Order: sequence, then structure tokens, then C-alpha cells
Amino acid sequence: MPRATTPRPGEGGLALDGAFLQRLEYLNVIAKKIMSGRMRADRKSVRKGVSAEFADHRSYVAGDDIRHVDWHLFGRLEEVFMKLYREEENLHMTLLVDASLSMDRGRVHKLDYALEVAAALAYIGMSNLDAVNVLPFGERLREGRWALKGKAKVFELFEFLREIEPRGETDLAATCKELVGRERRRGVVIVISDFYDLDGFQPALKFLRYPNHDIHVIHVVDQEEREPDLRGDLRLLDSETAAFREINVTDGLLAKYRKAFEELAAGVERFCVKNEIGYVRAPTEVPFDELVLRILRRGGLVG
Amino acid sequence: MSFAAPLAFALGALSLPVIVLYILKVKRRRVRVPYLRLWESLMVETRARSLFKRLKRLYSLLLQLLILGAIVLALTQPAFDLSSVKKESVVVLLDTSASMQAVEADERSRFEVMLERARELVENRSFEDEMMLAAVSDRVQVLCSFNRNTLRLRDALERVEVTHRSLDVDRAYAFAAAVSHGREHPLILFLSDGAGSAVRERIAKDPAAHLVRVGEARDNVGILRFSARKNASLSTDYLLARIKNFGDDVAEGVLLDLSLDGQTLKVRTRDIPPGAEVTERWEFELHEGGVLRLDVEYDDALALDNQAWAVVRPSRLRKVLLVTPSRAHALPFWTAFQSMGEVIHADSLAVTAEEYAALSEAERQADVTICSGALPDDLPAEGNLILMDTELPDFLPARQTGRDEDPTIWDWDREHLLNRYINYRDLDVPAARTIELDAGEALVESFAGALISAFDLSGRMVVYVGFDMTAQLFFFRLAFPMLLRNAIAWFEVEEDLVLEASYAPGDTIQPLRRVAGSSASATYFDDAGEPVDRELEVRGGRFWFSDTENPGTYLFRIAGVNHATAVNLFDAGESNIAPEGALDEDARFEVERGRHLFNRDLWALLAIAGVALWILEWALYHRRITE
Repeated sequence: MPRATTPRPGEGGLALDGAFLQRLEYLNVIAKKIMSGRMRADRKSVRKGVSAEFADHRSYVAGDDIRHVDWHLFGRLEEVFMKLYREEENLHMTLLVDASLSMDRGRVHKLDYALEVAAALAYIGMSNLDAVNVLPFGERLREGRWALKGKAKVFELFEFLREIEPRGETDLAATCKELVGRERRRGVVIVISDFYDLDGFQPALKFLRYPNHDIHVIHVVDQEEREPDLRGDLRLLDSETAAFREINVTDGLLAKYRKAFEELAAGVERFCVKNEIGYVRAPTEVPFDELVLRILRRGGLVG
Repeated sequence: MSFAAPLAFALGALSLPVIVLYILKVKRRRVRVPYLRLWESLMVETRARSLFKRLKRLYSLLLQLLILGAIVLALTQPAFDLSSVKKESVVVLLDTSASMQAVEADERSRFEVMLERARELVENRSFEDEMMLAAVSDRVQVLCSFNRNTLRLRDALERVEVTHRSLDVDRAYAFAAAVSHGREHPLILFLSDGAGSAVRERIAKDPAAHLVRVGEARDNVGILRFSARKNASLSTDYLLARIKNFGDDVAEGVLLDLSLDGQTLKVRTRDIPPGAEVTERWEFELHEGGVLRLDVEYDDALALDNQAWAVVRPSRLRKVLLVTPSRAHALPFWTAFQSMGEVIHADSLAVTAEEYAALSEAERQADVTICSGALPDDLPAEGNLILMDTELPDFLPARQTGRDEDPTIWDWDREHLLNRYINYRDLDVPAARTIELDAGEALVESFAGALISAFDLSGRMVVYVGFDMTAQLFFFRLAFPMLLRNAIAWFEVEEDLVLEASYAPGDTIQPLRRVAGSSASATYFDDAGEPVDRELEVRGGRFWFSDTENPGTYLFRIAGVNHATAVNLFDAGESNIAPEGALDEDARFEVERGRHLFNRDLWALLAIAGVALWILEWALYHRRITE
């Protein structure tokens, strides 16, 4: 598959080096400031387990730890009930990164940008000892990194991100279906994509809602898509499907295109708002760290 | 229709690459987009107009092919030919001589009128004609060699300039005949007024040569000669001017204004009958020298010949060293020197031979050393000599043949400057030394040999008198001062006359004799009247200066001494501006040329069509893009 017209920075990959790591650390510090007052285990797990906070009762079954028998209730009702406590758990963050061929474009390479954002969010999560899944996808879920936790894993993460190459078409629905099947724990799911899957993105996001995931969307858009520099008689080739159309691009047509693109982006946003999905539009000309800070300040995503 | 360069049709093959290039241009640029469906939703409307756009592309290709066709046709130089035109090789000679500066009744110069005629010839020539343009005066300058390119011919006409020179018809015609020789259908067109040069007569025998006569004005009064002559013998300066009325009417009130270095010396008014020539003479004592200018103030058609310049050399006092055997012998000479104060320098010396021996080298330096009766062994190395009744020195190319005790003068050179105003007839010459000359000139001869001789020893002038002139005091008192004056005049001519008194415009000025030094300088006035200084390289005692187009004075500084000369027209042929022959004779040629009026070549029209098509194509393409 031919590479993008816009070359990726560096030697065909990301510049995930020491400087990048410094920027992530800075982001992490800022993130902690933003999230000050909120400590680990603030998030209450839906799973019941052992902790200081009572949650519910259930009947005793053989093998239960008798230390958790509610003796006060036994005294009143003469029936053995077990005290259930709300289990404190770490956040499970899943970063779904669109690595299809449509991301292999842009004046700022969209896939690289998406991976930088994913790296930043993952680093912040891993620093908080959250379990972070980084999963690239195209037509389906590709091999990813699961349950990365702690800063020590950051180099493994970078190595993995460097190896991600754009390929295939986007099938967000199949991807999300597969994710729901593999990750049953509730958590935060962040989808980073250009959402050039008009038919598939809506059912896909709905799929993610079934396990009560906290869903967020980062919609990557590049200036080349918003304001394409095209004129004259052209043969347009679809970067994912290799389909083509011959077209005469005029000023009028460009104006129509810009309008259509804006409607497409607005449609994704409308859907997200309507379904209580966090939506952030990510123009690639905005530096990734600035975008991450913007996301953090809006809250509800990490920390 | 005919084509002058049909081979250019081969360039029509360029249509193939044009089509290929056009297809390449139409071939769409391939652009990869992230999401084609977004574009597809917009294409419904554009499809509706695609047929029209395809047609527009066809128009564009068609127009490009038409542009190519127009260019190819232009290069073939097609023309509508309404007659059986034969290919001619036309040599157009443009008279740029001084008479072409004459102003016609419509205030245009004759030269401008001629240029207009030349342009007509260029524009109306047959497309097959090759044409050469040459400017002719006393020289021939090719402006444009044989070609059919109208632009080049036009450009050549823009570059031609009128000169102050004379017209050399023979040279011009010889050139035209030479370049036309061997060419098919040669035609020589001489655009000239033919003034005073008998152009028609010169070219009459050649049926291929025609005079295209220009100019009508005839009224002109011109200076034909203006010169100053210094008479060192009499210490006077003679000025002479000849002025002629070339017009058909009496020139009344012609004012002659003579000035020296800008100061008016004399003003005269003359009425000059038609065709008459008047000679004016003036006599002045202009010891200081200067530049004389004569202005003829008369409203005529040619102003160029209304001024003339002449240079008067300043008089120079000569230091004389007289060597005699005794003081008594020097007395008659000394008496003669008393009356020659305007010639003889006050520092002149009269010494005896013994006293001469005691003189230092500096004291011996004199313009003229006169030895009478005594010849010192160590004559000065420089300066001119007058030897009278002395031994013949070794350096003279002559031999003493004997002594004629009773010489009889049988002839003398009456034309020689040294003998001016002296009559040797019936002179009772005392005993004389007679010599036989190997070189030099015998000025006075007896039957026995030369009595008085003159020698030019390349830089040193020697007058040898074989007898004692003081022997007959009456003759001496009359003849010696004149001989000395004549000798000084002769020395002066040979010493000081480095340049001619006047040159014609365009002449090359070179010194008449070898000059000292390795460089010289010239000061003259350019076309704008601004003074110009130029360094000249002197090689082997010679230099060459040819920027003499403009009449006026030219000052040369040679070996630290100023030498002036003048450039004047002084050409009756050019001043006689009356055009030659009747115009009717030329009409025949004009009618003949008229047949080419419709033979205009069409390349220019085709080129314009090509440009128009290109603009149309551009507009269409542009519209297609921006719509």
C-alpha cells in the first residue's frame, strides 16, 4: 500500500524520544494539579469486594470468609448474611487508535498525531497506576498492549507505538464489538479516529455503551481535509479502498466540500452529545500536549 | 498566394507533440484523498455539465492547433501576389553626406525625408526581395546585409545618422555594383539629392541603378575656403575667404562676421548674385595667434557651411647667435638685426670665433646660428644654421667644387620660400665658393655650381651661402634681412607646421612630421558642443586621430606644445544643395515600385492572429478552471 503523500516525521515513525517523554512528564504534573484533591480509589468500582465502605448483603454460602458475616443482622434475624463492601479498584483505560489508511494523510500526519495523543493519555494513566490498554484498529482490532501500568512500562509503550503502521480500511463497528468481547471490566474507552466510517461509527459507539464504559471520542481532523488545496481536473483516489473518481475541482465545488466536511464533523459531535459520549475535536495543527491539557481541563476523562 | 520559406511547413509536424502535450495536460492529476465518499456526494451536479466541459477541452485543443498553424504560416512568409513578381536583390544606398542636412520647406531635414522614402521602400518591397541597406558618404557603411527580414531593415534605418562628410559617388556605386554582382535581378537604389555629385550621370549606364531623388531646397550660401597665412617675412597674417551663392536668387545682405577667439575683428556685408563666388581678404598682424571664425549670417537651407574656422599660429621671436671673424665683420649684421625687432629676440648674440669658443653650451643654444666668414669647430648640436662664406662643414651632403672668382647667376628657384621677395638678377656676386649637392636644394646657381643652397637634415635646417653678402653693402642691406626673414619663415614652416591648416570632416589627422614623446592629447567638441579631452598614443613619432566628424577647431598638445587645426566642410559639391535632375524622371521608378504595394507579406497578420488565439485559448482554459 502506498504511503501518504505527507511523510511521517522521523524515520517513518514517531519521535518518541527523551524530549517527548519530558513533555509527557510535564503533562502528567499538570494533570495532577488539575486533578488535585482527587486521590487514587476515588472511583468506586461496581464490583463488590473488600474495602472499608459497606455496599450490600448477601446470603452466606459455604466457603465464605466468616470475618465478613454480619453478626448484628444474625442476632436480629438469625440468618447468616455476608457483608459486602465496595471494592476499590484502579481505572481501566482503553485507547482505541484508528490506524487505517485514511489516517496516513494530512499536512500533520494524522496517525502520528493520534499516537502522540494516545501516548500522552496513556502516560498520565500509567503514572496514576491505572491499567491502560492501547489498541490500534483498522478493519478490526489489532494486536495491542493490555493493562500497562506504572511509568516503567512507558518504554514498552513507545516501542509498541513506533511499530504501528497504517493499513486497511476502517471498521469501527467490528472493532468495538471485538473490544467489548475481550474487555468486560468497566472503564474509560477513548476512541481516537478521523471517523471516516459514516455507517459504522454510530453502532460502534453504541456497542461500547453496553458494558457501561465511559466513552470519549477524539476526532482527528487535518487542515488538508478541511481546506483541500485542489484545483482543476483531478482523479481522486480513496486512500483506503483505492476507488477513484474523476472530478473537476472548482471554487464552487470546494466551497461545497468545505460545507460537507463541516457537516460530517458536526454529525459526529451531535451523535456523541446525544449519547453522552465525550467529544473533542482535534485539529492536527494544535500541538498534541495542548490538546491533552484542553481535554484534561474539561475533566471526566482521566485522573 | 506564395510562400517565401515553404520549408517552414515542416514545422507543422509540431502539431503531433502539441496534441500529445495537450493530452498530457488534460490527463488528470491523481490525488489521494482520505475519504472519497465525501467527494462523491458532491459529484452529482458536476456530471451534468461534463459534456460541455469536454467540448470546451476540444475547443482548447483546436485553438492550440490553430495557434501552431498561424505560427507555421507566419514562418513560411506567405504573401498575396497580384503580379508576377521576380525576386530582386535590392541595394539601397542612403546618402548621409553633409548636403542631406539641408532643411526643406516643411522644416524637415532632407535626411529625414530620405529616411521616410527608405522606410516606404522597406515596407512596400516585394516579399521575395532581398534588401541591403548601406549609408554612403565618403565612405560606405553597411547597415544591414542582404535579407528579407523587415524588422531588421527597420532597425537598420533607425540606426543611420547623417554626417558632415562629402559624398563619394564612385565609391558608393562601386560598392553597390560589387555586392550586386552575380545576384539574380540586382537593383541599386540610390537615395540621394544627388547634389553636386552627378549621381545620375555616374549610374546612367547601369540599367539596374536608379536615383531616388529627395529634396527640393536650392537656396544656399556657403563658405568654400577660409584660410590664414602667416607671412613671417613681412610679419603679417593674411586671411582669405571664398563664399559662393548656390541659390537661384541674389543673396542680399550676406553678413560676414570675422572673429578671433570670440572677439569680432571685422564685419562686412555683401550681396552675392546667383551662382557667383566672392573672395574676401583681410590683413592683420596677429602676433599672438588664435582661432579665427568666419560666420556667414544668411538664412539659407544648409547651415553647416555657414561657419568656417582657421588657426593663426603665434609669431615666435628667434634667438640668433652670430659668429664672425671680428667684431667689425659683425657690424652690418647687427645693423640689420636692429630693424628686425619683431623677428629677432633681444637675447641674440654676436660673437667672434674666439669668443664663441669660450661660450658655454647653454649660451650656444640659439634658434638660428649664423656663421659668416668663420666656422667654429664645435657648432651647436641643435638649432638651424646659416653659413655664409665659410668652409663646407662635414655633415652637409655636398662637396666644394672650387671657387668662382666672377660668378654669374644664371638661375634661381623663384618658388622657394627662401627666395621670396629677393631678386638676384643683375647681382654682381663677389668671388664665391661653389658646391655640388648630393642632397638638398640649390636656391641660386651660377655656371660653376650652387651659390646658395638649402639642406633639410631631418630636424636641422641649414642655409649655405657661398659668398660674402656683406661685400656689397647695398645688396646686403636689401637682401640679407629678407633672406633672414625668409629663412626664419622656412624654419618655422618646417619646425612648427605639425598639422595641416584644415581638414575635411571624417579625415584622419596625423602629424606631418615625426613628433617627440610617447603620447599626445586632443581637445575637441562633441556633437553636443561639450569639450572632450582624449589621450593619443604616439608610436614612432606618429599618431592618428579620426574623431573629426564635427567641423570646428581641434587642439593637440604634442611634446608640451599646443598645435591647433580646424575641420571645415569646404566642399562645393555638398554646398550646392540643388537636387540633381527633375523629379519627373524619378516618377517612372516610383510607378514601377508601386506594383508591390499589394505584395505585402502576411506574417505579421498571422502572428497577430496567433497571439489573439492564444489569448482566447488562455481565457477558455482559465474559465474552465475557475468556473
